[in-house]
Amino acid sequence: MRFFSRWIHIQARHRKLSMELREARREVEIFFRLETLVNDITTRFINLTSEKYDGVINSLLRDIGKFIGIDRAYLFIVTGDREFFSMSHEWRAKGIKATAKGMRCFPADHCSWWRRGLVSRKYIHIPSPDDVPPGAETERRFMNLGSVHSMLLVPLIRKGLLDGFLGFDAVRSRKIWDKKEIYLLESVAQNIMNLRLRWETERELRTAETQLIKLREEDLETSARIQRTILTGDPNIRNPAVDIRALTIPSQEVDGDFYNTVRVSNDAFDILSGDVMGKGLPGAFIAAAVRNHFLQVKLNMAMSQPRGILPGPRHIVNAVASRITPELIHLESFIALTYSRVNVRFRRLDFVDCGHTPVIHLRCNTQRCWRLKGHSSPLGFLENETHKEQSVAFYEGDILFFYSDGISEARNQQGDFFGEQRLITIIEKNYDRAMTEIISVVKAAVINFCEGNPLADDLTCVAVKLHDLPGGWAVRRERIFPGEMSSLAAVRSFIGECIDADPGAAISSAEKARIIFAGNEAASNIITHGVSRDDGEEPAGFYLEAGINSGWLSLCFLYGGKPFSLPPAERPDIESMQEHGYGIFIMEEFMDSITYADDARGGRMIALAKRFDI
Amino acid sequence: MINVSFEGNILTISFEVDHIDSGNYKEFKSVMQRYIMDGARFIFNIEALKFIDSSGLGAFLSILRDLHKVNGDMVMYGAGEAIRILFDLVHLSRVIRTFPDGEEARRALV
Repeated sequence: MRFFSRWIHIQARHRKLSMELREARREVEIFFRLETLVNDITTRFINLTSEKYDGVINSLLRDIGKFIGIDRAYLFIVTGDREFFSMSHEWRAKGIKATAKGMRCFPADHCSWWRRGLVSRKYIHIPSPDDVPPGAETERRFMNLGSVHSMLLVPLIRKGLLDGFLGFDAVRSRKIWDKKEIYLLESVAQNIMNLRLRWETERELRTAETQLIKLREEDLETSARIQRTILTGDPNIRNPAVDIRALTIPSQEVDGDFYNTVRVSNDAFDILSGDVMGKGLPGAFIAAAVRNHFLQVKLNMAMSQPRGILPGPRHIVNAVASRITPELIHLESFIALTYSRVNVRFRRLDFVDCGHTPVIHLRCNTQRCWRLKGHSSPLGFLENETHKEQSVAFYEGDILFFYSDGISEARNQQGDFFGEQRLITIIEKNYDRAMTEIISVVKAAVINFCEGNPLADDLTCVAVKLHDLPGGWAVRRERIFPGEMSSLAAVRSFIGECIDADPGAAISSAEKARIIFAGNEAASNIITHGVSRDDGEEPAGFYLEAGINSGWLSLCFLYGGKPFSLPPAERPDIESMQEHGYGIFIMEEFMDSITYADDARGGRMIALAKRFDI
Repeated sequence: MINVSFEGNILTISFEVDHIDSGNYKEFKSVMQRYIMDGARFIFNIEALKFIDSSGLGAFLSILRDLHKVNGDMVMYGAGEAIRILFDLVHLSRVIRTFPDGEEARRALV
């Protein structure tokens, strides 16, 4: 009997243990599945873009609600400076009523029990409305209004403060959540919190970007307006000897290109063409300020000069540079520019090139373009730099073309540059057309080349055709010399004869000697470095044209051969008895300007100028 | 190219050409090398020269440098207006004494 009783007891205990084991297995399985779901949700969050925020929250509430077998799942957010709980998302099982309108947003103070618990970062588990403590009547009423049997609220904490809560209602039956489930649901709440943070950050970023785009558009429009009205505009030169046209196409990001034309006298006008480093409104403002400085300097100079005649470009550029270079250095900006004076009576272009694109000079007699470059740094690079002026002659039918790097550096879809050579080819092919037509051809060529690629820089150019020129040359001679040293004496004689032939006899004997010294040095350099041959072949000759009028003397050497650089002249140290380095110094000192240019086809030019109108 | 007359260790050099430039400066330097010896003193009569370019100038400076190496010296006289303009530009007088006539030049060397 004792044995049987013991057997019964063991059997009962076995059954109980088996049941407990099955229950434990079921619980483990549920917990595992819930954990898997939470992991899945977490993975979805990681790869989520905040644009899908609402959809993800809704699907999350649905998945969790279905899985844990509850009837309603929702998300409340703290709003109004933490004074209200507002429902942002809700999922309901089939047949379950939506939360009443009055319960979708309520003052947090009305449910102070919930609030206290949630603020202290604790979940609130209410298995039954009877478990609501006395004093929490609103909470109990809410449960009853929603027909809620059981409720679980899990706080969302951001930076230690309550940001909202995740809620689960059991409506059709009571539900008791175990700690493992609650732990996992707290993890879900944290994921939602992180998603909210990301969503809000991205929303703020998008708002900021939208505002930035709007500001940029306003900036662009303002910059473009400044450029159209202040920085560029129509060239206002009315001179029967010139056909002058300009083109400006602002890029997507206006970048401070500017130009200005000013009449100096009946025979001369100035062209200022510049490019400020920096785009948009700052670039446009600096360009406007620089342009204004030029106008002020010119006005001051004209007022202080007898008969109001403006001094030469180098005086103007140096005066402006001394004003604005410290400011530009402070602003970490700089300006590349060319300041040019076209004197149609003297047939002379004077220019100061401060790191700008070359001036393209089409010589009508050869229909070839020469690239005229200077040696100065952009304004804003160096304080106390003396910017030098260069002078070259032009003739009837010649074209001067000033342009910004927006033309040469325009790119097509493949990233190729439009380049200077294409521009030169257009000018050479169309040299006999009106400037308005050349401008149109250049514009069309650049736009076609870009194949719809947006312009990275402004397209700016000024084209000047010189025709029906007044005045002329008192002396104009040209000669070809063999490319050998024995030609030097002939070159000296040629220059001397030209000077002696000047009926105005404006050049003194000392000045004549200086000009001959300089011309001799130029010829010597050409023979030594330019036309000399390494293969023993006969060297090519060189061409020298000399012109004298009341304004100046021009010596222009043209040759085909090797390029050679003209380094900046420095006073040679005579006391060290150095043997070399005097040639360029002599040219620089004895002439007012030296210009070295090439025509990109192997043609070279050295132009020396002596001005009488300084 | 040149004529040379001797008076002790003083050589007076005059020119048969009217220029020293890139075309003939090497020949000039080469010819002058023959006369550079210990304690040599040169008087250059450049009255005949109408033109000297940067290469010619360099040749004179090269000769002076070689003379200094052998405790020699040199002076010049008779520079025309054009050449004086060049000499003034490069401050040649800081290294080569120049005189209006031969007598003064000779006195400076003796």
